[in-house]
This record gives sequence, C-alpha cells and structure tokens, in this order.
Amino acid sequence: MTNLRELAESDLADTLEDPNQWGLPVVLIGPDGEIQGTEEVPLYGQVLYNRIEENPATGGEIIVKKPVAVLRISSLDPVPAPGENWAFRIPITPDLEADLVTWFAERPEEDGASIGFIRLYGKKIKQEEEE
Amino acid sequence: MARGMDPMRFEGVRDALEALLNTYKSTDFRVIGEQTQAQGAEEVEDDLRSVEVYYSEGDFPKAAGSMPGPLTHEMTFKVDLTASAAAEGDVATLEAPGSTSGERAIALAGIKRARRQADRSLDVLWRHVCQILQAADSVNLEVDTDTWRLSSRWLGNYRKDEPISYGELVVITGSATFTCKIEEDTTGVIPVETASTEYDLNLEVTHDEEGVMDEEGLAGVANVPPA
Repeated sequence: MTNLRELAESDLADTLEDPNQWGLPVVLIGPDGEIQGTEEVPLYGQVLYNRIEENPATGGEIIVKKPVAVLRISSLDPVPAPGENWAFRIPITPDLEADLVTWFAERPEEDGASIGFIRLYGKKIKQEEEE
Repeated sequence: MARGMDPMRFEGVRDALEALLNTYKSTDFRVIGEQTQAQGAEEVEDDLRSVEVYYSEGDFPKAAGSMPGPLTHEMTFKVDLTASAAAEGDVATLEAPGSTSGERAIALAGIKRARRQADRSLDVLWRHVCQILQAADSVNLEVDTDTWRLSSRWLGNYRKDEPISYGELVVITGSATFTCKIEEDTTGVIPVETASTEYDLNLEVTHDEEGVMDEEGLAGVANVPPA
C-alpha cells in the first residue's frame, strides 16, 4: 500500500520531470566531472529563473535574477551534497529547444528532501581570462 | 533687489575631490558625487564598481574662529565603495562537448567563488582611491592655493563590510572618511544687483494740420488731435 508521502514523490515525475508539463532539460556536472543528463539518458527538472530574496539594505522583498533547478532526488546518482562543487546547465529561456547556459550550483539549506526533491540555486560563472 | 550667497569653500572641495578621482583613475570604476540610494548588484558589477564621495559632516570649532569670520571648517567626506562580481572559471571546458570528465573536474575545482572575486575587486578599488586621495602631489586637491589652502588632509577609517549574496552575484561594500580643514569666509546674505530693463513708453504719432495721421504714422490711430 502506498502512503501519501510516496504518492507525492511519484507525482514528481509529472510535476517536475514531464517535458510536456513543467520539465525542462538539465545537465548536471559533478565534482568528478561526470555528467548527468545526456542525450541518451536525459534529465528533466523544473526551472525557475527568478526568486524572491530579502534586500539586505532595506529588509524588504525583492525579485532577483537567480535560477533555481528543482530536481527529483530518485533520478539522481550521485545527489549533490553541501560543500561540493557542482555546475548545472539549463535552457537560457524556458524552452525545451533553447541553448543551455552553465551555472555554478549552490545547494541551499532549505530543500524538499522530505518529499523527494532538491533545489540547486545558480550563481553566474564568467569565463576567466587567460593570464 | 535680489539677494544671494557666495558658495562656501567646502562645496568646491567636494567638486575637486570628485574631479581628482575622475582624472587619475587608471582602472575602471565610476565616480559619483552624491549619496545614492542602494544600487542593484548588476549596476556595480566588475568595471561598473562605484565610488561615492559626498560631504557628510562639518564642524566650526569655536576656539578656531570668530563670529564675523573667518571660520575654520573641519570637514568630513564619506567615501563609499561598492563592487559586485560573479564566480570565474573555465566555462569553456565545462561546456565543451569533447571535454573529458577529468578536465571538467579540474575546471570545477578551479572555479574562483564570487565572494573572493568581489572581495578582490573592492581591494583594487580601494587601492586606487587610496593612492589618488593620499598622493602628496595633490595635497591641495589640485586647486590653486590662491583659491584655498587645505590643511590636515587625511584619508582613514576604512572598513570593509561583509560580502552579501545578491541573486546571481555577490556584492561587497566598504567606506572610508576623508577629513580636512579649510578657512571659510562668512559673507552672509549679500544683495545682488540686477540689470533693469527700460521701456520707452512715448507714443509718437505724426499727422497733418487737420489731424489726419500720416502714412508713416500708426495704423488705427487716425484723427489723433495735435498736442
């Protein structure tokens, strides 16, 4: 018999991963350089391009440009852990065919582990100049 | 008669400080001559980092002046620095379809975090501000000593704040104070002479003996009786 928590986790296949619903392609690059989300085995997740943060100067809420990739934990192996260096690539616009852009991943303290997903927050990376 | 006031010397010092920073900056940053509201992270990214210089405090020590003047003006200018940066790394390798997992692992391990980049960017900015404002050859802020003579010029109290994650970037701020003394005159409110405009209100109408206006006279003012 399936309990509600398991049911919610299985729903992630629709709510997060289904490219016909909210899913967008995501490529994860782990600290060992291994890639999850290839052409053979694609990885999908829900991607948001902005989020609400607190303005440290005023304490008020502001909307900032900071992409968030929400991924189903059961689709990941290995799962990004705090303190590790990960990068992820997501479409530049919410379009399945759009070019992918690379972001440095921050694993936040808040996550949805009790339901079965993680959030990776993107930090902009610039190409370093040749010295 | 209109009244006005001469500018005080601190206003000139403020403008000279801004001009000095703009003249000698040999790296990229923006000089802002007033106190702005909080700036967005993207507005101060990399070469857009900013230096705000503005008059912040002034005092006239009683022992160093007299009521009719001149007065010694002890001035404090705030010098606020703001910078933001993104992480930097070998993005080309991370994105190259032909890169190996080993190459990607090295590229990921070599990413310089945004906090570090922002911190370094602010250090470079402070170095330039420090060198320009403390330089011995600009002791009078490059203003003729007949105009004023600055004394006790000093840049100090620099403090760097905590870097703050702001969306996709990291922002860091710092501030210092620039203090100096100058002699101010007290001219009070002074009358200002304004040039007056004079209007010729005499109406000259020429006419013949019967009082009919000449052709060269004013149209519509016919039959004006002779004076």
